[in-house]
Amino acid sequence: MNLSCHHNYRFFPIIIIIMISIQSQQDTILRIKELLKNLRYLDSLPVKSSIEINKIESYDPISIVPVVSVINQKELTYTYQDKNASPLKVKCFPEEINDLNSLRLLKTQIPIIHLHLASINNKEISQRINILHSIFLDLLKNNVITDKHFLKLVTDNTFGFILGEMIDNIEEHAKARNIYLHAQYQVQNNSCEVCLLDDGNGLLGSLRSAGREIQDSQEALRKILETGLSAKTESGKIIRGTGIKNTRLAITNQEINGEFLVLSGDAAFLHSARKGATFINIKNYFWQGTIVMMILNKPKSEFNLYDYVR
Amino acid sequence: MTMSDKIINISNLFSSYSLVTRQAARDICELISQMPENSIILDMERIAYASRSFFDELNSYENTFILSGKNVELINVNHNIASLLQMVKEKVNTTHNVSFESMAKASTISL
Repeated sequence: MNLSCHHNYRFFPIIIIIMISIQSQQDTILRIKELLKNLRYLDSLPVKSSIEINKIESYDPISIVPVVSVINQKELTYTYQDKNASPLKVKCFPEEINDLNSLRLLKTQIPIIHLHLASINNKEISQRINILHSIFLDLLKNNVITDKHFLKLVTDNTFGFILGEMIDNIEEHAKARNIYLHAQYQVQNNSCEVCLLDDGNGLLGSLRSAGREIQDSQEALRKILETGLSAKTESGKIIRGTGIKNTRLAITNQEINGEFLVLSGDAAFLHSARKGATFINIKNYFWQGTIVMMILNKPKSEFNLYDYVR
Repeated sequence: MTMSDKIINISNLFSSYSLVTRQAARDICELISQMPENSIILDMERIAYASRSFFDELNSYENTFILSGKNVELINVNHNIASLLQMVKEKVNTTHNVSFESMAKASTISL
């Protein structure tokens, strides 16, 4: 069983059995800790190894998507020890997304979508990203969020905005070869979690490519958050970026009460409306690219995005 | 709207209900520059979402259109997009005085 859209099976004489567990966790810090443990395991494997997935208790996006992307990238084959676990299916965009009706059969989640960007020109990348955003919003509104009152209060404009800001960052700055996107609505918590990742330059790489003198991922993250440092220039001047700031404000206010995570290189930042902000220094692991997680909770009254974003 | 206006249905052009990328704006402006008509109407019917970056990029071509004698108008813009467009125009018309906050209160952990 494999997840790759372009996998060619070859007999590989060395088989390595690695146990990966994904446990059900409420606390995001614990989920990130478990994710990093799994990513470190996968990072140590040769390409085309075989792995055994021990246990998957929870399919929440931030725990699953980075693991799936590495499995795909390293062309790993895997089996489940727990026979009751569902496979980690990936839908390749656009080849496997054309039939929206089959995607609509899944309630409360959008499958993991993989957009492969290498070898296509900027216009085609742009076209695919716009359509992906369109399809993703359509599925969120009409399928995934089964509580229509949730959608009415949060508004599809909010989802469109936060997703658009983060996807736009990938298109403008990342130079990524792959994008993965996944969403899940948790009925019991009245919350929707979205995970988006890319394998591009990452925050540090993007800033350095634009000539910004930044020492490491931690500094890159802090400067982006505290000063709006951006890779963008206009008429020769550095202009400030507001995408991450506005997304964070849209999610972590007291109405949406959500969580926003950005992880790039060996640094991460988690802002929870309930628990505050945390910088995370990541030891012994470096994610080439950027991972974003957004959790939105059902507000008590209709949310106006423009009360928070500028 | 007159008979000499050229109408471009944006949703049909991109086969999408979303306009997220700057490249999409550049593609539209390239198309406009190649048209002989001086009055262009961008029909945003069925466009559910457009990003700040898209409008920021589109706005950056405003002077180019003026200099080339082209008038570009948007129609059928939904309420959400109209709000976003207004936000983008306000940012263009004022100095960049968006405030950022210190993260001094944020805790730091290692994982």
